[in-house]
Amino acid sequence: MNSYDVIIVGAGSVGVPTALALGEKGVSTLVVDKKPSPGQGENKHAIGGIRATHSDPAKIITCLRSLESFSTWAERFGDQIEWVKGGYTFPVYRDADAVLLKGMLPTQKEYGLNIDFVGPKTIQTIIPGVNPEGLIGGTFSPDDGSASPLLAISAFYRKSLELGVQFRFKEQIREIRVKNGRVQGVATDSVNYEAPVVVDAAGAYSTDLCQTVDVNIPVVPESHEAGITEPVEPFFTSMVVDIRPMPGSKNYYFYQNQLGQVIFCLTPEPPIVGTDTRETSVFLPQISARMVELIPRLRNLRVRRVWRGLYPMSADGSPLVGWNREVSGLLHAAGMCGQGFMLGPGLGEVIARMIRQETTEKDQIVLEAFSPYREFAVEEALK
Amino acid sequence: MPYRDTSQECTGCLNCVAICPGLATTLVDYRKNKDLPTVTLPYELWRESVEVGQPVPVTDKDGAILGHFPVQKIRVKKKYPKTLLVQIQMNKKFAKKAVGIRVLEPQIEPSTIYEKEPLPDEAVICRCERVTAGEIRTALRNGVRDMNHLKAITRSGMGSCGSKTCRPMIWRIFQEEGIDPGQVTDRVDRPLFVEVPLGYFAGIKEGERHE
Ligand SMILES: Cc1cc2nc3c(=O)[nH]c(=O)nc-3n(C[C@H](O)[C@H](O)[C@H](O)COP(=O)(O)OP(=O)(O)OC[C@H]3O[C@@H](n4cnc5c(N)ncnc54)[C@H](O)[C@@H]3O)c2cc1C
Repeated sequence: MNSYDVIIVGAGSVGVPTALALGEKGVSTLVVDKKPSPGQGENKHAIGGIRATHSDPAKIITCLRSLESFSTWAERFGDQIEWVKGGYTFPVYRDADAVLLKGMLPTQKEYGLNIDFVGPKTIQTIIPGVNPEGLIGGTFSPDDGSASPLLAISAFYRKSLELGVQFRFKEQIREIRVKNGRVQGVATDSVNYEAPVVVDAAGAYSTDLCQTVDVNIPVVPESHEAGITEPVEPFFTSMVVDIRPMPGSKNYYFYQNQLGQVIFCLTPEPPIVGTDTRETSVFLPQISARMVELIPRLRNLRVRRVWRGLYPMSADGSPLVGWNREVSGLLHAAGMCGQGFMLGPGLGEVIARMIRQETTEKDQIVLEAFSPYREFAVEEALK
Repeated sequence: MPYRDTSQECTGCLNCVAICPGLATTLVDYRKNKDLPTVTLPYELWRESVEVGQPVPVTDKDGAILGHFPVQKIRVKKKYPKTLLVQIQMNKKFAKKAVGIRVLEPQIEPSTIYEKEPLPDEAVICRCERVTAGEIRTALRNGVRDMNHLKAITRSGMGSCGSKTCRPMIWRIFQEEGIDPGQVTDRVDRPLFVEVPLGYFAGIKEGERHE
């Protein structure tokens, strides 16, 4: 009854698309989450940016797959997920940033990313009203985009159910069960579920989950805030990322969704470590000043709501994906940092192939870069 | 607030009944008849319709009718000519419960539409985001049991009002669909708020032009 081929802990940005990929392969799969419905962990805090614009080939490969999945979802399965192919724009005002972004182009292009460094005129047409003073140009990757994390996960969930994946909500996994170094399943307070494979997709709580089998997965939650405005007539479609650091913050990014609302998010500096998700009063003044400086016409747009969520951070900004070497059958899919939503569908497919032992050459590139046993030496440039 | 000065005996002058602008004072006078006291009720609305001898329905504080009682006397204080002081005799058991008379016939029926039948599919439940009962019903029939999940799929309750109107109506639809309320997870409450422009947070004063 309670026996499956695979159990996934966490019905979030990674857990649900992984279940979908397993369901498509006919693997009997159970997903367990302590929350009452899919995506109620960090997934719903994501603002919805999806880009293959990274410096690391593994992320480029994975997100190109995700983009394929998001962008064709509505035509393949009918659910509207508010996909907008608006691209990603990194406007540049400092020579150093131009050098940094241009330096990534060869690798990005080699792995199939459609991207170029464009001049200030082009940036001004992509972002109407962008501050022209000192604008050098920037990168534009037209095939990146955005979608609603709320609708996307619900669509993945609906499709997974259709494929026979089972879900249990409001059930907290207390421990991963192991015997003689092999995974047996998981346990809640009242039930045992059996499976030879357990996928750790517990997001910001991966460290806690894995500690139940004395495995140390170094995922540190960092809190990030976001906000959304009232809807107005759409006037730009690209995600805009401003990578200039300022006192109190690193980069920030925002876009206008299909409904006309501008959604924005800031990376605080120094990082705010911990699991506190109560909104603060410093965030809005910080990001508003930066957004209004970049696009002055945004000043009249009214803020509707703010929220705060967690980036499950790894030491170098890349995910931790791979089989555990001490506990056989435990598969890590953790440490998604600020990119779990965009990595989810692509990673889900890789994980399904790992479980079926069907990994491809490209998967090997991904798995090497994301290995939990890698040297955490180089930081990804666009983490 | 006026208050009753208990140092002096009430003389039954009725000024307190006539003066109260909210028609909130009544006087029960036991002096003539202990068991059948005289109750004085203020009345202003449709003065011509009250006549001595006519039985009037007397109501309690909830508007429920205590009984019909013939009007004994109608008095008017010179200083407060607009307020009729309608006097009736009532059993001492109910006398203190009387607060008014109802002379007008009920003009409208309380709506029972919600008790009678389920909301039509096209009824707009969430006004901010224009979500209909039909859309919510479909989601519930597809298995949604978490208000936050419902919000994610349909946008009901996502608007600036913080779900003040739609929340109880959504609960109603859950009930109509025969779903055990114990299975339903309620939404996260949002504080009251006003939408404020980004420019305000950026420190730009109203009307000021940004460089
Ligand atoms: C403000 C903000 C903006 C962001 N914007 C973007 C963006 O634009 N694009 C992007 O790609 N990413 C973005 N992110 C990052 C993204 O939200 C995360 O990387 C992603 O949601 C993490 O996915 P996950 O599956 O690892 O975790 P989650 O989605 O949180 O899923 C983990 C699930 O596991 C469950 N769980 C944990 N432990 C247990 C247990 N013991 N038992 C049962 N269940 C358990 C949790 O309840 C949760 O539902 C943003 C994040 C924030 C905070």
